[in-house]
Amino acid sequence: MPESFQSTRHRKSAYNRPEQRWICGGECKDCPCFLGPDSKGNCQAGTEFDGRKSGQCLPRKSADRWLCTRQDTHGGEPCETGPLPDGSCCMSVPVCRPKRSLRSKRGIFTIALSLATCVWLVAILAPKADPDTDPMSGLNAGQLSANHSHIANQCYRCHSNEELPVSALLDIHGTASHHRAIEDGKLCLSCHNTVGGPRGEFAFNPHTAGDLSPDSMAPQKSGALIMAVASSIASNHLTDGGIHCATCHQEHHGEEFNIATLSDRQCQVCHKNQFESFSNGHPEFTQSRYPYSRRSGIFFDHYSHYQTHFGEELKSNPETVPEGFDPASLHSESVSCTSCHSAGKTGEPMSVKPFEASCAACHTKNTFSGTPLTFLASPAINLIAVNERLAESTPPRSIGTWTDSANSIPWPTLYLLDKDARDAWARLNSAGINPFDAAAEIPNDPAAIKDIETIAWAVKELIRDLAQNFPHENPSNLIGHDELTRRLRESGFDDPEALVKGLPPGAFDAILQGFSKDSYIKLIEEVDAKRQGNYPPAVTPPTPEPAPDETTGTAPAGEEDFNGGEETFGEGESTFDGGEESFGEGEETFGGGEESFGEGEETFGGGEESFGDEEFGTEENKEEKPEPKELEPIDPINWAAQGGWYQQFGKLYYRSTGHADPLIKNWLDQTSKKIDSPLALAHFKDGFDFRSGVESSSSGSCLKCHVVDEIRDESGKLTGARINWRSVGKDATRHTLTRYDHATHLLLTDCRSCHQTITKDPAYTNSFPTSEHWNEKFNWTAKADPLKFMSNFKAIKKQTCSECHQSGKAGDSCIQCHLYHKTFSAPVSLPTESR
Amino acid sequence: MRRITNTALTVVAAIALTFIWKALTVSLRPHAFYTGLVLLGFVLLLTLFNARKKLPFLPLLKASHWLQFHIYAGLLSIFLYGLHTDFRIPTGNLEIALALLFAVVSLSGVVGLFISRYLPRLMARSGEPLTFEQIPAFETRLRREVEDLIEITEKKTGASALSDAYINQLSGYFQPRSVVRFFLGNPNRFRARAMADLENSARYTSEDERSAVEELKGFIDTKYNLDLQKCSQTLLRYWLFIHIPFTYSMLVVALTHAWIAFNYTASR
Repeated sequence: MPESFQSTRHRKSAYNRPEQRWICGGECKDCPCFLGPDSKGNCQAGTEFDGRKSGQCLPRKSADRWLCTRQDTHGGEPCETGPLPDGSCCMSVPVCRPKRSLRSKRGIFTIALSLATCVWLVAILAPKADPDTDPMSGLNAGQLSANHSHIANQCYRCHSNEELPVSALLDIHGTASHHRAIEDGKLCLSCHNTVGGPRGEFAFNPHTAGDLSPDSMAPQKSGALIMAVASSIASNHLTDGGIHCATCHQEHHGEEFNIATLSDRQCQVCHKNQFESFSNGHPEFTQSRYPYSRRSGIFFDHYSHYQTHFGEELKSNPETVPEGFDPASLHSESVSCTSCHSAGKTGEPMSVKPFEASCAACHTKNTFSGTPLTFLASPAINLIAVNERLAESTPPRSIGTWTDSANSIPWPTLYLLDKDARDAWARLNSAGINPFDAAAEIPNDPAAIKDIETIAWAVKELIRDLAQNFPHENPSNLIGHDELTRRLRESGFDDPEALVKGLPPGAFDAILQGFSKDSYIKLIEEVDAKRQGNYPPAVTPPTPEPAPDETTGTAPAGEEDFNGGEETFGEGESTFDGGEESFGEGEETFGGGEESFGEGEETFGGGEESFGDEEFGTEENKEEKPEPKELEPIDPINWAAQGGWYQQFGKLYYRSTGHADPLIKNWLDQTSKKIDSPLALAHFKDGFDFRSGVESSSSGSCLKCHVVDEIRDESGKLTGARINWRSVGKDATRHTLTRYDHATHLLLTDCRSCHQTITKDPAYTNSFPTSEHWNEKFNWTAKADPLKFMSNFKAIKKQTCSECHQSGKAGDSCIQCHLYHKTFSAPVSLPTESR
Repeated sequence: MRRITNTALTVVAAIALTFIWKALTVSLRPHAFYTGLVLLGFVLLLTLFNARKKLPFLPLLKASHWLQFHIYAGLLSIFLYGLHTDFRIPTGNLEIALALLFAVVSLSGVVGLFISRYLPRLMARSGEPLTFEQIPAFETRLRREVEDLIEITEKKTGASALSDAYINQLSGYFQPRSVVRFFLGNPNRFRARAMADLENSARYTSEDERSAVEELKGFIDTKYNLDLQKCSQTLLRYWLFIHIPFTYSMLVVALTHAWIAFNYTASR
């Protein structure tokens, strides 16, 4: 065995060329060629050079012998056979097929792999022939999140065509890419169109809101080093519209990736107040009344309901227990919060169960019984005083005769008058003058007198036109509903048909119930004459006891008088004295068979008619007609007990059919939009709010619970009102950056662990405006502000939450409770924060 | 000392990169864009080491310095890649391919680092160091010498015990051995089995054959060294067959990825 295989002596060691591209192919035979292949991979053995073949030695002649000169590394000296007799070398190197060196093979593999990679890249980046597929879709930059998976392969949906110069690569501040980020963000907004306002104008502002000042983007550079550095970076980039969609939402990280996740530090980096955790450093809830900063949409005193109606007090007085309630169960433990509330969707407030499930047990009666809504009536007026004033004018004028059926003008009737009359009404109200009061003092102001005259004639024209059954007698050639809806549309209602829905034909005959035959004919004559420019003659005020022959009229007292001829005015027309009449509660009926238009018992409820069978009465009829004995007159109030239209005493009524009556709701909604002045709002409230003195009304009691909020424009001008039909809405202004999952929390605790009832406090009820607050004399605007509110629950403190919400327990991540995007969806309640 | 220094520098650099990455993340800056740029720079620098070896005449620091930088910057790049991807597995075609290529290059680099540290020591302990290109010739020569010894011994003693043992049991051992078989099997076990076979045959040999048996034992040890040298040096050369080609392939994909990121990243 050799001690050493490989000699390191230069004469014994072969020269290897592993770095060359080609190596000898004969190595493995223990006879590596000392020539080696050339640079092109050709074996050099056998090639002739200078008269001999490669690999042959050049024998040296010594005396007469040829001696071998082969080097040791080429086989040793001398070779066994020695040179041939002619002096040429006897050896020849066998020709081999050179092979590539390892380095060369590696180079080829490297190039081949790189080329294959390029080919693959071209294949996936090449535009696709399919026109429906995005040219770059083959790239598949990564799976989109599950919510965006439907737009996979549609790169253009999110990526704009904005190109960047190469220099932008070195733009470390991202200024060059800002425009593209904005353009890409706009593509996001094409679907996410509720972000950043109705037109996305605030989409790239902090919290996608328009009302956060730049100061909120000036974080304190203190605390942890990482936060200090990050805040410095953020303050340079994330201000002035520098927050784009992609700043937070990074896509292409797979279906399971939540693109809305933000860490607490990422939330805090923009905020001035940076803190360690919710329990350590998070500011106390800033609103001292959290979360009851805004007036609820429903007026509901929890204290009185929970502690009194549901409580022991009620339990001890079984006779007061509402029908359907078990007195034994009426205490604070059995009537729980969830009896009326149900957990809403994640992040939304608790919702109040439907009326039928929560309030109906006790309050159904309130929704259809009680005083109906007066729709149409002829209001009382101090005719004597008015005509006196008009008689003094030049030329002397008059409003002629007057028949009234109501103590005041119903507000729906007001909307049936023409614009001049409504304007006159507004002026008079602003001056504190109510002309529709039989005992009202009429001022000696020509302008006021003119306004009163305008309104009075408008009322007379309304009565004349609505009650005309024949088109040729109607100047507008419209009758019934058409005339009614025309007037309503003229008053600015968008959907007048919805406001008179269900009104049966002939309902306007109700107007005639307030007139005698002659007085009605007189009214028609007067109106027609006035329309031709001829005012009725000025009348002399009646004396307290006028002699029948002193009157210029044809009807002696008592002849056509609903009150038996006791009261007559001027020309002898029968009128109701607004100051004395009281047609309350259906107790009074007109004398049957007298000369009146029916007997006042006509009803339209339920679409059926039960008009009185009288035509225009005459004296003969009056005398000849027997007293009704067999058929008792139908009480219209009873007839319409379940709701609907009916008429009585010259008035047209509508009674609610129950909770959420569509017609009344339509009236309220459409009317509330038209409110543009405090007086209009006051009038609106007068018509519907029980606190305006219409106790126990049903048609007017919607606003007993449903609170009305005002709407103001940016300048503070009243532009309308909105009725809170829902109890609690997602407030667009106060809690849009906060969410709370009631359902999850209720699995672990009960409501009262957070919402603690306080003792009875009038501050709650005082937070809601009463009738007096809807008067210009009072500071009603303060009351109308829904943010000036005091709940009858204690405010929730941070500690209540932080007992559980700590790291390692229920978690204390910012985005557990807070949202980034301010919501701009149509709010249920009013945007009042800007005020 | 050098290792400690370099390791400390690498750790410090990793901490600094982590801090910057965290600061960018917290400040809602597109950290992937910036870490990607740095990572691409690292990869290009690492690739230049190969070019440096081809340009020995340029005064570009010692190759050993380059190697040290290559090792530690390579390890740092693996960490930087994790920061770049937020330690997530990518889902896009290009990104998956890039991740796989990066993994192959990184893993082959780590393996190369290991074997270039371990195998030379093993070879030095094993026996005579040999030039890789000449090992096939040495294998042929060794086999011929073994066969010559047996032939001479048989002629000299007239006994065929050794030649029978060689033909039946030892000839396979002296055949060239594949790298995979050598390392996946137990190299020492091959040698031990050959020795055991020879010992068994030696019980039937004459006194004259004993000296040849002892010589054959020496040849068995020599063959073991030959196999070790051959297989170790093969590994030391062939790991670059993975590391280098895939590096260039990765560079192609990485540059494409950078171009796409530049053109499609909305926010910077």
